[in-house]
Amino acid sequence: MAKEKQTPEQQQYQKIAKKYEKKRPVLKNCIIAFFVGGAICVIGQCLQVFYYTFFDFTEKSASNPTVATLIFIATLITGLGFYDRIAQVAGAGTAVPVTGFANSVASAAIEHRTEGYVLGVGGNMFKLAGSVIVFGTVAAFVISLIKTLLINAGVI
Amino acid sequence: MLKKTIAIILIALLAACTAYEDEQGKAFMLQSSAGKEQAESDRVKEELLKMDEVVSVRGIQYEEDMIMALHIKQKNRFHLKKVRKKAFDSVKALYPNATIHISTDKKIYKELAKAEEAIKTDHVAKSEVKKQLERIEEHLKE
Repeated sequence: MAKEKQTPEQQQYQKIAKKYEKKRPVLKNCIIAFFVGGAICVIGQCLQVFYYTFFDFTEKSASNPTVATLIFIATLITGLGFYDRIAQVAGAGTAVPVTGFANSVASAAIEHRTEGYVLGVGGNMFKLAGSVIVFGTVAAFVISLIKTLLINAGVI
Repeated sequence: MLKKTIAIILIALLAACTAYEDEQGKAFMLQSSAGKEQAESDRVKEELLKMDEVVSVRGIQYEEDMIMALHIKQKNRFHLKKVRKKAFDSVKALYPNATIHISTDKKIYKELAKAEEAIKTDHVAKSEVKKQLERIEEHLKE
């Protein structure tokens, strides 16, 4: 409901409710998210170093199996039910990296498994991740358009 | 107590990273130790080390073919393409007829370190150096 349409009683209620509302520890949440997200990235970096040290990958091509491994681990942990517990503590720290995307796809697929594979899993798998895909694609298109224009103009 | 421990661990980690980078600060000169037709590559390494962005250089040569891998300072890793071009131009100015490959890939750096080690310690055959060079060139194409 829009704030300007609130009646005086509603406004007073909001005021009282705000007084008893538990304040969100924003700074603490940010710090935890930073460290948990960073820890996931460190694991990713370790995997990349492992791949290019022990296998026939270069630093550049090692990022493909690294991402695949991270997606596999995140999906497995989601299936076993641990990811949600980590996400409860870490918040955005687990949502932002590639593992968050894997989690959103896997958890939606697991949730709708009872509705059947085609209409249940297939239809609902991208319910959460769909918005990321749409806005990611649109953002990539806009950014590449700007980059092309800047390159053609000779700015970069 | 926990906060203090975390702070100490972080400081120790940062200090260790800096010390490691300093240890690698100089290029591995082959001509003086191995004496196997690597004088030009040593000259190139000296030239590349003059760049501010470069921490250390590894590289070998086979006749006119030269491969150099750069260890770049962390803050300069956002501009790897520019750094590679700058390094390539400086080497090309030095040896215009040489085929030069400049890489910032850590895998190539490791492979070249191994190749340098092999040249230095075992005095490997010329054909072996060529084979190693070709293998690293294959990696560069990926």
